[in-house]
Amino acid sequence: MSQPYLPRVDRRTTMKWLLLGVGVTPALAACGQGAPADPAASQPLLGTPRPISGTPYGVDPDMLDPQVTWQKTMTGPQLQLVAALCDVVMPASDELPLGSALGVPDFVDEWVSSPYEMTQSARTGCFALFEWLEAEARGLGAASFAAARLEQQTTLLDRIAWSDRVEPGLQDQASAFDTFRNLSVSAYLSSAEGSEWLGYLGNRPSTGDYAGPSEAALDHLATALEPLGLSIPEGL
Amino acid sequence: MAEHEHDVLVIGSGAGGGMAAYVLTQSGVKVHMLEAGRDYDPVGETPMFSENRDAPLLGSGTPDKDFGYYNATIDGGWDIQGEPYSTGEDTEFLWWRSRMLGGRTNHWARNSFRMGEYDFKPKTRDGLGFDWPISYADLAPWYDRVEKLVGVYGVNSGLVNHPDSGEGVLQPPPKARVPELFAAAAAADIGIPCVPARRAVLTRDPGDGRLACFWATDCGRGCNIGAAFQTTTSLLPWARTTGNLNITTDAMVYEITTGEDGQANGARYIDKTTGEHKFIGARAVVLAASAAESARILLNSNARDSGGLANGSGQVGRNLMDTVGSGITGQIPALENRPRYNEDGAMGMHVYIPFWLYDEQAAGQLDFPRGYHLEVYSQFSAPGMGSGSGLDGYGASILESARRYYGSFIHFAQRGEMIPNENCYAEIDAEGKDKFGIPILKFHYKHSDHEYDQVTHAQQASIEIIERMGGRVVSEVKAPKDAVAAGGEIIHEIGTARMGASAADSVTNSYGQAWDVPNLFILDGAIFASKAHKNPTLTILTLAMRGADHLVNEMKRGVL
Repeated sequence: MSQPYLPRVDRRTTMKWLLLGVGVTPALAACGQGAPADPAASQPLLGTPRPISGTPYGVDPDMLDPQVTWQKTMTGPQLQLVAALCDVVMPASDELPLGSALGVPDFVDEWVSSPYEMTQSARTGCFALFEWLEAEARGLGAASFAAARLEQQTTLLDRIAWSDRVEPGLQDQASAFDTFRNLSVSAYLSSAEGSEWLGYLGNRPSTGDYAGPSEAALDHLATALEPLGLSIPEGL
Repeated sequence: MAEHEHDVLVIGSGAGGGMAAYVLTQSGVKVHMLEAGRDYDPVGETPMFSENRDAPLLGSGTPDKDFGYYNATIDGGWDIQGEPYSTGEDTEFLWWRSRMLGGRTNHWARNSFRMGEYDFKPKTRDGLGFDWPISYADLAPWYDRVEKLVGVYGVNSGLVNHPDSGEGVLQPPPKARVPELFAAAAAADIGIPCVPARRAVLTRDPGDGRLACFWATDCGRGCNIGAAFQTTTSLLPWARTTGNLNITTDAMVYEITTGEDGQANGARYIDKTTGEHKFIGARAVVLAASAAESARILLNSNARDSGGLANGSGQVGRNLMDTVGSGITGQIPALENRPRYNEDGAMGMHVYIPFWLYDEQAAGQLDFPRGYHLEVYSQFSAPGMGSGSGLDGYGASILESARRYYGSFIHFAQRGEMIPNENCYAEIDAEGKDKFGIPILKFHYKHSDHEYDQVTHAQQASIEIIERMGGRVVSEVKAPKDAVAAGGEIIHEIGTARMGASAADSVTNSYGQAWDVPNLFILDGAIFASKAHKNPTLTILTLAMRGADHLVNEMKRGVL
């Protein structure tokens, strides 16, 4: 990610923001402006996120026109860190774009900003993880995690990302990273591009009887069953 | 008896109420239906084809929508604001409600297994629980009618206590998918049958306006082409077409009233749109508000000082049962990186494992008295929250892992029979009231060793199949007491106004007709005398059809 991450504004959030009178000013947000200043408090390195606002979508939302009914709360610097982290977690390949390219940072923001209690542990854990990554990156001489070199970023992740080699004392960061990885990879693979890459071929109607497994799928199954001494059952 | 514009009042619009209204109106009986939730039309409201990515939080379940954003449960779930329920000491009980026209039929799994010969006479068979006042033979023709009307896919497998349907009744099942074929092959090799499932999903156009499944869109969202059965695309619109059905929604019933003759003469309800208390009279009343809500209404009715309406036996609220549920998940290396194809199919099960050890059970070779079935779940499902779970590390390797393992997990869900016991019941909470001022229910629930031992067996069977598939168990294998689903969690709660052969120990006769109040018919899961492992909705529909037919006949005879 060589350019600052610009939040995506999709249909389901645009309407709500317009209704709420929230301006879409990514440049300002990226600079962390708008966070309340409290000189007496110790300032988080990534700024102070906005408090949770908005309401749950309720027990009878419009299922045909889904709307996110809360505002995103992450600071600009947090969003930049998340974008950089997404790119390390999900690097680009010949087949797939960078993790930040599919709106994943916005989804992480949507999740940690939701007014449901179930997402608040993720908010607390992830925000602490982001602060730790930022502090450690600066400790390595980088201007920020987002601006750090790839090897600096991976040096930090290697301390928390692998379940069998978490550095002692960093269990909380490892746990938060696991949450972040689930959120970000789930969003990435749920995108149209990610879903196609994964190989999900459903949600397409067809008439007549269900086609069932393809010839290739059945051949593969037969090959898998053979060493187990099994064969494809008849009549199913 | 006062004259009314309608003859029968039906309380509830789900499986029982929907079927009762259908049968009654087809026979020319004027029906007024009261539904506690709002009006709901699947044709205009079902999010067919909507993607998880277009919903808040990728469509994940939230306290607002426990089963996900798109699930066809409106104003409901485990908790409803302002409509609490309480639990007794050491009780964990969950009560799923759907405050909407059609109730829980809008989102149910559509699994439709007939109860069998053994299931109606469990006490005769093993001395436990309570026999039904009818046998399978009594209900068989009614099952045929219901299956034909509703549309159920499956085959006649000829297995013990898994009855065949009549000739030409069932619709062809969809082909099994790869993991299902794999599981069936492994199960068969260790002596466990795996056969086509039975689900209330059309695979042929019935010619009544509904269409056959087009093999896409989760049935739990509801189905705007009517392929997956729900009363709001079938029984209710058909009943309305007769001109004999009126429906009042947002009508929260709290009492069935009786006249000086002791007969039911109507119901009191709260109009949720205005808060007004209203009364509606009727010549006869069908109560089908769901097992627990029906018990609540009876216990809150005008004879409450004497224990509630139709409760001379003292059995209203007692005998609360739910399906015994647990699950084991495995990962199958041979299914990794398997060739992709459209595996949505009918979304739910195409095959399942019916209970196969009746003879061994009768011979005393098992340490649990009642059966279970295993539901088999594995497919290339739509990506969503959780698609990124279970990964380790970061970088290109985790994406490759996600792709490699996609579609290689298999879950076996135990669904077992529970035996009624004295520790499981619902009563009126002496102190709690809901936002309408209606006294709430207090649930008491406790499994016995019968259920725990059954869980252990189901776990072992599931593990054996997974291992025969060359796989490994990836879910925690908990002790049965921790593995078993909480009471109510499987959403098969039944038994709170059981039917029987005598007014002394049951609430209704075999038609759901209350012994104490002959013009009151209870036609939901409350009247079950036992909880077979078979999912109850098909039997609720069948008992409701039979009971409503009896009501029609009694009205024609002038008895009611």
